[in-house]
Parts: sequence; structure tokens; C-alpha cells
Amino acid sequence: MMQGKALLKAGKGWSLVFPLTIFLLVFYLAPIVLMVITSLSPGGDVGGMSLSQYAKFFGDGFNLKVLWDTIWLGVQTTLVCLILGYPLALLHSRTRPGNWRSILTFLIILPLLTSAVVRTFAWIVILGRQGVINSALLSLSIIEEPLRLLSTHHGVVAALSQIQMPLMILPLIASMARLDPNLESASASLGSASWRTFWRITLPLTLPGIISGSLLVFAASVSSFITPSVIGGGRIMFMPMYIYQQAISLFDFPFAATISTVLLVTVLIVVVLLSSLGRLTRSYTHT
Amino acid sequence: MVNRRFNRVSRRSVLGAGLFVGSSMLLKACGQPQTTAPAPAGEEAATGGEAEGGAVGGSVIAVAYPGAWEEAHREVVASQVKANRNVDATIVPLLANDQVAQLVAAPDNPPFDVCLLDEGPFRAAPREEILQPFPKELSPSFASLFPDFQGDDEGWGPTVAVTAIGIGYNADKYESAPAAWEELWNPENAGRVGLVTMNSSLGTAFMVEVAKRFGGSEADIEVAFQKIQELLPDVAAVAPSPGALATLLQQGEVDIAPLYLNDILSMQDAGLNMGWAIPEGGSIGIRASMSIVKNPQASLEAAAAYIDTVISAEAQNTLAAPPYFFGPTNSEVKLLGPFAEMFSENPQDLISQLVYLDWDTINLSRPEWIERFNREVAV
Repeated sequence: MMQGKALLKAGKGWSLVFPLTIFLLVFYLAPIVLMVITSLSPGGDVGGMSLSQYAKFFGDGFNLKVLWDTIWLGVQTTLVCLILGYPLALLHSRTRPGNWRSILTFLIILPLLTSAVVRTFAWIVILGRQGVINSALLSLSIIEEPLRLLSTHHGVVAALSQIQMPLMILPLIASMARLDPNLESASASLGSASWRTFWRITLPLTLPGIISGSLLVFAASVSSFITPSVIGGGRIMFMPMYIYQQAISLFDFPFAATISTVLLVTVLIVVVLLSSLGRLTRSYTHT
Repeated sequence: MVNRRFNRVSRRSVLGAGLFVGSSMLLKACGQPQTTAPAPAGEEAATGGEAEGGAVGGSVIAVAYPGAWEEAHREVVASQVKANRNVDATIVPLLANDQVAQLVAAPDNPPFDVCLLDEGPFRAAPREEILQPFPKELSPSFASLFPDFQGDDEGWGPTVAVTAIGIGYNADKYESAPAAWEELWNPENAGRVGLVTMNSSLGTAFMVEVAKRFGGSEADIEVAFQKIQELLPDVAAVAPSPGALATLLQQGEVDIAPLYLNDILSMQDAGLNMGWAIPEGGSIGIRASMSIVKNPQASLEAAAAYIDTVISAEAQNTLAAPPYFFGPTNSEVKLLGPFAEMFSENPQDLISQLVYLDWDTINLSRPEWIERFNREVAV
């Protein structure tokens, strides 16, 4: 009887998500299937299906470098967001609800309130030869020649980290809100130093937030288009720009679909890896 | 029990149907391009009735490149075509290759009626499949176009604006204007040169021109690739698009670069001390033409009235003035401000400086060049 009720309950849930399911099937899954089919076309006027586009992709050092640079960009951005975002999230969760906390929340969400394009152009002003950083360093006589910050991989990481930061901090705050403060007090009263408490209690218990934040930042970074192309310039190629160029400038749709599929699979692999890590830590958080 | 079950099912289906209807309406709204506000009627409309062509009525969806083009066509052309010809115009921002891709994808149901393509993409597009010949007889302004801009023998449509490529430079940092493309290789310019990838017409035209200066041609730009390899250590930045290159010049990231005239004029208009020089051998002219697509939703008359408005002296006088500085193609236009200072009031003095490239030949190898360029400049 209980089972029947539960089943009915589940059925009710399913029928409510039915419209969304249809929406996703038609507008999300179908295009992806089409994309994968296109990537299997040998190209030109030749019909049939083959893996030749994939052979072309993986047989060329340039493509592998683009793929690796993109993954590395995602990893770096995620780490920067995590290292800079974690203390901020911690500060937010330790601040008592009130004005200060609201101001902090506002500051954290602030980057989301302007468009990525505007923020990217602001970074040109910051990173440029006559930009904020270089003029400050020059006037302090720390450097004699302006540093080259624009059109570099690190410039892209810096700009992307700022732009994606809220995607990391918000899940962290959510996971910290679920953290029982008594656990930290207990650890402290049992004689643990604050670092030990952090490593043994706080960090493990906020792992779910770290994982979901990392997932969001990684996926958003490796697929971002405007910031890498404007800050990185024409000499650094990442996967999204490469896809755009193949499809729109060169009309090579099969190869563009191949690059897209490779990027999609890469992101999926990272998602699977990170969520299996999440499953491992679940025993931590729910005991 | 049965009754209750029935109730639940029906409530559920009503909810589902409601969501479905709601989301489809939302979708429909999203798909509907933003319509331009009709220009105020009144004096303009009254005089417009007397203008050549007369009221046509109906509506048209026309494309403009994102940015200055979109703004100019929305602000200037859309209101004039409404006032003079009573045609409601909707401007859709799309790049040239995106337009061709969309037209090729849906030739029977094109998403817009009038397309805007510059020479490279235009000559590369399957014109027979996606465009129709321009009905000159419906366009009173067509006859006043310069001969170079009446479209080729195929008659797909008129050139609506011409852009000149020359050497843009930061006038604060140079005592005299650069005289030739070769000056980019001068040791004094080391670390100051800006380039743009070959994805853009600007980048491709620059590479072809460099090849020509050093003994190559539209068919063979090997020498340009060699010269770029030589230049690369001295290049300050390779921009992903012409607009980004203009931003880099403005920000002082680069001091000298191949640039479109209208970008420089806009910067001058904004008070920046920027110069633009016609290099030895002439400035490369890039012609942007408008055509009516095959199977348009709009009437042929409305679409022709739109293009006619774009090439009319009235519209082009505004588009050649600040802040747009589009190179006019109508011989009755008078240049103003910084444009006139650089040349003269007569657009002929600009037009006569222009040389055009053979894009049919360029397009044969352009995809390979783009790929090669991106690989060779990559760090």
C-alpha cells in the first residue's frame, strides 16, 4: 500500500515535469543528436558515416593543443575561483544576518548584474599597456616597461575568474549554510587548532558545494566565447572560437560538429569524475 | 474514487496544457524580431509623399551587421522608409556569414527579406540559390549611384556603402603619416603593430595587399605569410575582429594597424587624435551590397523600397556624417566634417583613391588561408 502511494506520488511528479521534458527533448536533445550525426559525416559530397572527422581532429597536434589549452583554462579558472571564493564564502557564512551580510551578498552577486561583454571590455582597461595595473606598477617604479597582460593565457584566466566567481561562491554559501556550527565548536573544545578543525571538519563538510561550484565554473569557462576571444586575442585559440570559425567562417559543419562533440564529451567526463567524487564524500556528510 | 481520479487527471492535463500554451506563446514572442518604432508621421511623411517612388506600404525584415550598421539602419533608414514609403522595417543584426548560413539552411522560408553582404562573403555565397536579381525599375535612386556601385553584370543588388582600408595610426606617436604598408616592418614600429585574423574581410584584404606589394597576387599569397612570420615578433596583438583591433588602437595597445576608415573617423569624432593614411598603391575598397532574398515574406516592392532608401542621397548624407561615416555610393552625397577634411566635399575624391580586390580568386583559397593564418600566428 505504501509502495503504491509512493509510486502515485512519483507519477504525479513526472507528469508535472512533462512539459519541460518535451521542451528539452525537442530543443536540446534533438539538436545534440543532429550534431553528433553531422560529426560522423565524412565531409564533402561523400555520403555515409565514418569516424574520419575524429581521426582528423586527434591526428593533428594543433587541435590537441587547442583542446588541452581549453581544459587547462577551465582547470585554472576553477582553481582561482575556488581559492579566492572559498574564504569569501566562509566570511559570508560567518557574518551574522543583517546589513553587512546583505552588502556582502550584493557584492558577490554584483558581477552577474552586468553583461559578460561589458565586464570583458572593462578587463581590457585593467590589463592594457596603459591600463590600471601597468600604470600603477609604472608609477611605483616597480617595472620600467609595461607588462604584457592582454593577449595572454593568464589574462584570460584572470578575467574569466572574476566573471565566473559567483558560480563558485553561491553553491559554497549554500553548503556552508547546512554546516552545523556545533561541529566546529565541538572540534575546538576537544582541543583541535583552528587549522585542524578546518581541514577535518569544515572542508570535508563543504565538499558538495566545492564540487558543484567547480562543475559550474569549469563548464562555463571551457564553453565561454567572448572573454577568451577579446582578452586572448587572435593568437590564442580555444575550443568555442575554433568551433565558431569552422562553422561560420569556413562552413565546415562536420568538423565543427566534431569539435563540439569532443568538447561536450570532455565536459561530461569532468562532470562524471567530479560527481563520483561527490558520491564518495556523501558518506561524510550524511553520517 | 473514479470521480476523484478523473478530477485529478483533468486538473493535471489542464495544467499541462496551460504550460504548453504558455511556453509556445513565449517561444513565439522570442522568435518575433524586435520591431522598430514607427517614425513620427507629420511633416516628414507629408514631404515623403511627394518623393520619388511614393508610398508602398507593407513591412520588411532587413539585416544589418551588429554594431554601428545596426544602429544606423535602425535610426536612419528604418524611419526614412516609414516616412517616405510607409514601409515598416525590422532590423535584424547578423554578420555576413551568418546570413548566408541561414539562407542556405532555409532557402524556401528565409528568416529575412533583405540581406547585407560585403564582397568576400557575397562572392563566395551560392547567389543563384538564395538571392534574386534587384528590380532596378523599382528603385529611383539606383541611377544616381557611381558606376562602380551599381552591382556587377549579374545584377544582384547595389553597393550600399563602401569602406576603405588604410593604415590607421595613433597620431600622438607619429610625426608624419606612414606612406606605405612596408612601414609596418620598420624597426621603429617593433612592438607596436596590430593585426587582425583572416576571418574578417579586413584581415584577408590586408594579407592579399601585402602579397601584392611583395610580388604575390590574389591567387598566391605565400610571400605574405613569409612576411608575417618576419613581422610576428614585433606584433603587439592580433585582434579577433576589426572592431577589437580598433579598440586596441584606442587603448594604446597598438600604435599602427590596417584599419577601416570609418572606425578611425569615429574615433576622431570622439576626440581621439588618430590618423589614417592611404598607403602607396591605393586604399583597398570593400563594397557592401544589399540584395533581396529568394522567396521573401515581404512584397518585392517593400523590399526594393527599403534598399532604395539605403542608397538614396537623403539616407546616405546622414550615414556619411558623424557618428557613422559610411562611405557613400550615391554620387549626389556631400561629405561633411572630418570626412570632408580628409578628402573633400565630393565623394568622388574618396572613391578615386580606392582599389578593389578580385574576391572570386581570393575565395578559392580563403578557407585554407584562414586555417593557416590561425596556426601560424598561434602562440
